[in-house]
Amino acid sequence: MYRVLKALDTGGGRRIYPGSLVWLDWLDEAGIGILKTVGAICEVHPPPLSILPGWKRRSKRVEKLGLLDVVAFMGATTEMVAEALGVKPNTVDRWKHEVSEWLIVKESNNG
Amino acid sequence: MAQTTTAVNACDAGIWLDNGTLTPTDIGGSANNVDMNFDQEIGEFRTFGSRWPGRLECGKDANFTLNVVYSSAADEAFDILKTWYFASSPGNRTLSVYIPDKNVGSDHFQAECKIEGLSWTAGSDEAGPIMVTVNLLPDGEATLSTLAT
Repeated sequence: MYRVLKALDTGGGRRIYPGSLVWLDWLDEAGIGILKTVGAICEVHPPPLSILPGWKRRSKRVEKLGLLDVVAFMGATTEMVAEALGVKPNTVDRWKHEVSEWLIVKESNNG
Repeated sequence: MAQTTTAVNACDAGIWLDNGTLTPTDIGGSANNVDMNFDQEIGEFRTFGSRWPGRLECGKDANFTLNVVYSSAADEAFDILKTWYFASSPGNRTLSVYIPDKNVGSDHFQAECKIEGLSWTAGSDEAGPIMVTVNLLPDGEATLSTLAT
């Protein structure tokens, strides 16, 4: 998962704006490397869910699904998580939004 | 600071312009120069007792000047531009410039533009192709993004 630092043009008039979180699954490693080099994206370093405020108990339920950190949780399909935990998909989407607000951005090594 | 190792030139820059059906069309094969100017309005003031002015920011603007070859083929730069200008309602077209090329990581400058004018000189003693200058002005924001596809 990556945080967008500069607006990305994904073709067809579509843009992803700075601050957004993206998977970039349509790009290969070389392409992702180029975007990192030009400072357009940076990696997100995922904390475990359990350290997020309000997630101490909820994280235990989510971790039983094998989703041990923020990126794993964000990458899981909403429907799968909702069905497995017996909650509404809207609830899972709300959790994902809440979690995305806490993601940490690694600082560049280039000074 | 060490000299940069990431300087770029424009040899492979991509220049795309909407054609008459508003389809983005690569016109780089019949263009060889684009001047791109980005401005910001700055207002200045100085008050009693101060030696240095204060400055305030206001509006932004841009303008683009293309040099294209006067060519005869349909859907090349000159055909698109002359048809655009001579249309009864010219309207807006999207101009995109990709530097250094149209690959992942390149800068993508884009604007919805109106055509301000075309000009060229046809000389009887000139063996080279007629070069046409085109001025485009953005209607609204000119944007910068990084190509990610």
